[in-house]
Amino acid sequence: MIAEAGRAALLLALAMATYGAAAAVLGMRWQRPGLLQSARRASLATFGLVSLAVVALAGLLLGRDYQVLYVYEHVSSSLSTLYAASALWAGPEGSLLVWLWLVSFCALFVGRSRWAWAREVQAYSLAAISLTQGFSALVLCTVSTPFILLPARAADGRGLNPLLENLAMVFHPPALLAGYAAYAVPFAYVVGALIGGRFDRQWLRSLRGWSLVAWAALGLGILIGARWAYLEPAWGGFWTWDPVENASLIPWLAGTALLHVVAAWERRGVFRMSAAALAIGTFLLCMLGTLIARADPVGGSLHSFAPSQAGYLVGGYLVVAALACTWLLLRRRRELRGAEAVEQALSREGAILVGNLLLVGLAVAILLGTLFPVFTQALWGVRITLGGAFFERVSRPLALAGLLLLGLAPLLSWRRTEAEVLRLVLVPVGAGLGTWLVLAGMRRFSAPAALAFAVIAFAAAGSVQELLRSVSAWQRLGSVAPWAVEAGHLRTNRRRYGMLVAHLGAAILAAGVAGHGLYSIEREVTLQRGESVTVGPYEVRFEALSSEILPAKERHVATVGVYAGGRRIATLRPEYNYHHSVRDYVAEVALRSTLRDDLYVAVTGIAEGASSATFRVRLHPLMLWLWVGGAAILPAAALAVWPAKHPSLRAAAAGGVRRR
Amino acid sequence: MRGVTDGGADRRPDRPLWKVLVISLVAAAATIYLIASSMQGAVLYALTIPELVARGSAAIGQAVRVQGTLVGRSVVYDASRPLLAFELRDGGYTLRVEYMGARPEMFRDGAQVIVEGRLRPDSVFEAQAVLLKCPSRYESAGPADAAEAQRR
Repeated sequence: MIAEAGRAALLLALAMATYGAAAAVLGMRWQRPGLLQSARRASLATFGLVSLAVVALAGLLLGRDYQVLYVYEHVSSSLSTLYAASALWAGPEGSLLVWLWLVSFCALFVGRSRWAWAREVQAYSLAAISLTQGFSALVLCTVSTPFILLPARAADGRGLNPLLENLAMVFHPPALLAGYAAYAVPFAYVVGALIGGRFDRQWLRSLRGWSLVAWAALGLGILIGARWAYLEPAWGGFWTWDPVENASLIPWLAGTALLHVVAAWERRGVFRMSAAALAIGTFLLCMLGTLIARADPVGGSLHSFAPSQAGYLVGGYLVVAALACTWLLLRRRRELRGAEAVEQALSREGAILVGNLLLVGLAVAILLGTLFPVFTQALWGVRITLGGAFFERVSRPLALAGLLLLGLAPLLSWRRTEAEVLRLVLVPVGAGLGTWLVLAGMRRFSAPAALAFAVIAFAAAGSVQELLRSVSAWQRLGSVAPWAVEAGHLRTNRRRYGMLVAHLGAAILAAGVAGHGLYSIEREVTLQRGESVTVGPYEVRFEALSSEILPAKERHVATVGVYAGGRRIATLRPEYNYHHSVRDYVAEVALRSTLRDDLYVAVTGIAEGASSATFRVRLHPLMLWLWVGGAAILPAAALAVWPAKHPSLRAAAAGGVRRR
Repeated sequence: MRGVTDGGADRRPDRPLWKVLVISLVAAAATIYLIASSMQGAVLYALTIPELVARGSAAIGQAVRVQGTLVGRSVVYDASRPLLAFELRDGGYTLRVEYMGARPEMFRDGAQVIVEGRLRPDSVFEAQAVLLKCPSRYESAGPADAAEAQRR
C-alpha cells in the first residue's frame, strides 16, 4: 500500500517535472507569464511528490516491511532505528531517490520568483533543472525503482553490512549526494544563461554561491568517506584510488577550478568561457561519477554496485547533454568573450590560469586513468587497469606545483603585481628554505620528503602571512566607524579570509598526506598474552582479552597497553566481533590520535582458546593534520558564502538589481 | 552582443589564436607526458581466471589482476607468519593463490575476491594484494536471492 503510493508519487513527479520544463520553455517562447508561474508551481509540486516518495521509503524501512525488496535487502529486525533510517541511501535506488529529493529542493531556489534576474535566464534555468529531475524520476520509475514488491513477505531482512554500521554511514552518503545535487544548480544557471543569452551580475553572484555550497558539501562528503575507509581495516586505508573514490574526486577538482574562475569573472569579467564550461563539466562529471558507481564499467572496484540498465540510461543522458552543452557554449562564444584574462604573468589572473590548468590536468589524468580499462577493452579487447602507483605518480608533481601556487597566489594583485608587493614572498620563501635546510640535515628525511615538506611550509607560511596581514588591516579599519568602511571592501575581505583559510587547510592536509605516505609503518604480528611489539617509538603490549555474547554478535575486546620510553601512555581496546548476520568477524579499530602521529591497532585474528591474537599495528605520522586541514573546507566556504550583513551593502545589492 | 551586462568586461579584439593554441598544446602535451611516464610499472592486466589459464606460460611473471569466487574449504591461514592460501574459481577453472598477509574480513565461501600479483612457474598465484568485493555494500542482490530467502 505504502509502496504503491511511493511509486505513484514518483510517476506523478516525473509528469510534473516534465510539465514544468515544458511550461517554462513555452511560457518564455510565447511570452505567457501565467505559464511561467505555473512552471514555478510545478517545481514546488515536484518537490512535494518526491518528498512523499522519500517518506514512503523511510516508512517502509522503519516499519520493516519485508515485502519490499529494497527493505528486505538493506535492513533487518536487529538493526537500530538510526541505521534502518540510513538504509535510505544504502543502495543505488535509495541513493538516487535521495539525490532527486535534494535536486528538487535546490530547484525551489531556481524557481524562486522574487529573483530579479532577466526572466528568460530564470525560465531556461528552471527548465534545465526540471529536465534533470525528470530524467532521474524516469530512471527511478523504470530501471532502478526502490518500490519493487516480493511475491510474499520475508520473515526477516538481510540487514546492513556490519562495515556500514558506522556513524560515517549516516553522514558520508548524504553529504556526497548533497554535493552532487547542488552542482545541478550552477549547471542549470549556466544552461539558462546560455540559452537566454544574458550574464547578469546578480546571476553571477548566485552562480558563485551555489558553486561554493556544492564544493563544500562534496568536499566534506569525500573527507568523511576517507575517514571511514581509514577506520575500517577491510578497506585498506583512507584513499586507495578505487574507481568509485576517484569518481567523487574528479568533479571536486573541476569544481575547485570553477570556484576560481567564477571569482575572477565576478571581479574582473575574465575567464567567462572557462567558468561556463567548468560549471557544465563539473555537473556532468558528477553524473559520470554516479555512472561509474552504479554500472561499474571499470570493473574491479571494491564498491561493487551491480551492473544495471540504469548505466546505459545515464550514459545516454551524458552523451546527449555533453553534445547539447558544447553546442550552446560555441553558439555563445562571442558573448562569453571577456577582457584579456592575463595581462601580466605575475598577477592573480596568471596564477588562477596556471592553477586551473593543474587542477583540470589532474582531473583529466585521474579520469583517463580510471577509465583506462574501458579504453583498452574497446581498442585491444584486454582490460588493463592502472594501479594506485599510477595515480600517486601523476598527482604528486601536480600537487607540489599546486601547493607552490597556493602559497604564492594570495600575494599577487589582480591585473599586475607591483615589485614592492613581491617582497612579501620573502617570508614564505624563508619558511620553505628553512624547512628544507633543517630536514635535509636530518638522516631520516630523504631528499623528496624534505622537498615536499619545504613546499608545504612555503604554502602554509604564505597563507598565514596573508591572513595576519588581512586581520591587521581589518583592525585598522575597525577603528573607524563600521559604516565608513566601503561596502565592497567588507565583502571582498570576508571572501579573502575564506580563500586564505581554504589554502591554509590545503597545506595542512598536504602535510598529513605526506606524513602518511612517506613515513607510515605497518606490522602484522601474533602475540601471546603479555608479549609486545615495538612500532616506531611505541611499545604495544597485548594484555587481556574479554568476550561477551550479545544478541546480534559475539564481542571480543582486547586490552592493549601502549608504552613510550618505558612509561605507559595509553590503553587501547580494539574489538574483533563475530556478527551473526554475516557469519563472520569484523574488526573495530582502536586509535590513539595525536598531532604527532596516529597509533592504529586492529585485531585480525584470535587463536583457538584465546591464548594469542594477531594484531595489525600501524603508525601514521601527521595523520590528524589531514583531517584538520580537510575540515577547514567548512569555515572557508562559510566565510566566503555568508551573505553580507552590513545594511548599506544589502541596500546596495538590492538597489542594483530592481530593474525588471 | 545583446544583453551582456557585466561591468568588468571591456571589449577587445579577438584573442590571437596562436596564443590559445600554444597554451592548450603545451598543457595537453604536459598532461599526456605525465600520464604516459606514470604508467611505467603501474599497469595490471585485468583477466578472468579462464583467460589467465589460456595464456599458459606467457602469463607467468606478468602483473595481473584476477577476480574469482572464493572456495571456502580451500582457505588455509597461518596467522603466525602470516600466510593465507586459498582457491578462486571462475568458469570451471580454479586458481591457487598464496598471500603473505592477514586474512581479510568477510573472507568466506562465495565471496568475490580480487587478487593482484603474479603467476609463479609452479602455477600458484602469488598475490601482493587481496581485496574483497563487499557483497552487500551498495549491491542489490538479484531477485533469485530474494526468492531463496523466502524459501527459508
